[in-house]
Amino acid sequence: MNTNRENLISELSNDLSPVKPLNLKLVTLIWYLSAFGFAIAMMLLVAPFRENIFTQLATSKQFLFESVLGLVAIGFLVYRAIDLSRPSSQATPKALILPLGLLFLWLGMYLYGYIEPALEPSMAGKRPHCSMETVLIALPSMFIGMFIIRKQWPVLPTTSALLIGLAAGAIPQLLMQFGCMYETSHILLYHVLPGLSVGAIAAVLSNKLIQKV
Amino acid sequence: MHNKQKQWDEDEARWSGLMQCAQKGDRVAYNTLLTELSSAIEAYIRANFGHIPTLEDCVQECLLAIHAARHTYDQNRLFRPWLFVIVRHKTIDVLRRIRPDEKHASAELPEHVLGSTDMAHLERMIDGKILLAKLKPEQQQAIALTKYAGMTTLEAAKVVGINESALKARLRRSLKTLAQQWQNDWKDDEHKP
Repeated sequence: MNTNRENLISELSNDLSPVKPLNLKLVTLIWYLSAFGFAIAMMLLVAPFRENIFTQLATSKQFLFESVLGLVAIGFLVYRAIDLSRPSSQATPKALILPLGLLFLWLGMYLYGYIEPALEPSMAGKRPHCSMETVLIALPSMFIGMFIIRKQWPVLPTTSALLIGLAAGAIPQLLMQFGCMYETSHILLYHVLPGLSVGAIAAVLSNKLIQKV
Repeated sequence: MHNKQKQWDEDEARWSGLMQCAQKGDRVAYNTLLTELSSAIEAYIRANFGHIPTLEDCVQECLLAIHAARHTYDQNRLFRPWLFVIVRHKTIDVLRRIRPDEKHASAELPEHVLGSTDMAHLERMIDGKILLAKLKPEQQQAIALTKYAGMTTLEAAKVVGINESALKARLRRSLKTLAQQWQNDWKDDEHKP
């Protein structure tokens, strides 16, 4: 081994300080719960959720199913986004199949609403600026998620950012189905589209905010 | 085969254990780990790229990256995939970034090869050409001239008979293909003994 390398190894060893590996499941859970908590609080500050939301969840199996599917899809998106920020054999396109598959399945449920809506379309609970709210509520969670990713060693920074952005956008997007009017075109245009756009924002910002390794 | 598997398992367990100690701040364990890994990394890069003049740069950059990323190793996962993802990224990064200078090239390559524009000579230099062999001939040529023979892109462009920007584009594509190829291949190398 040459002297330069020996010196480098000595320097790195002498410079060693203890580090705490990230607990993936715990960090995912904390981000997930706090992002939902924050989104619910912000939405309640603007306007209350629909009064009969619990009755609707209890009576419409389709509405309950699509809501639960959304919760699950968001969980997988966050988990994978943070997981991909560490070097591992998971950093392949295959890793995206499950989270993105669940996301599109969930969004497909809303498209299916054109054929058979989960709830009777109604203007009840309409919020005046729901699309803007969706984006604004998602941004803080998106930035926190990107900060977590940045602290790791992201092999695929844009992909990680895209996933965390999609997850952050999906949270208010899902909650808007409880807090705003339920009508398929409105959902797709004013809730889903702004939610997805947060993913694009995160992917674009990843070049600036997440160091490429 | 059985011995190879045993050795593979032992290395995996030892490196994982040493890294866990290093994460807790054990300097001796970390020194041992980096020393062992530097040899493994050197062998790995040499096996894939042969006598690349920037080999030492690649190894040292990998060691620095391992140091910076040591908090991302998860003890519940295999050590090798973690290690070689870093090695793969850093090596391609160094190949993209660093142009071998005269000093590097002279230290590693015989004089008659340095002045050579003969592809046969250049190909012989890439003695471990596992990855390079999978590239198109013109891509191999671009990498061999610039990264192995130490030519500037302008010099290489003159040898190939194309303009400099075309050569730069070819080089970029070649490195991208290499990175993708390596990503596809690395699992076979690292998961199996």
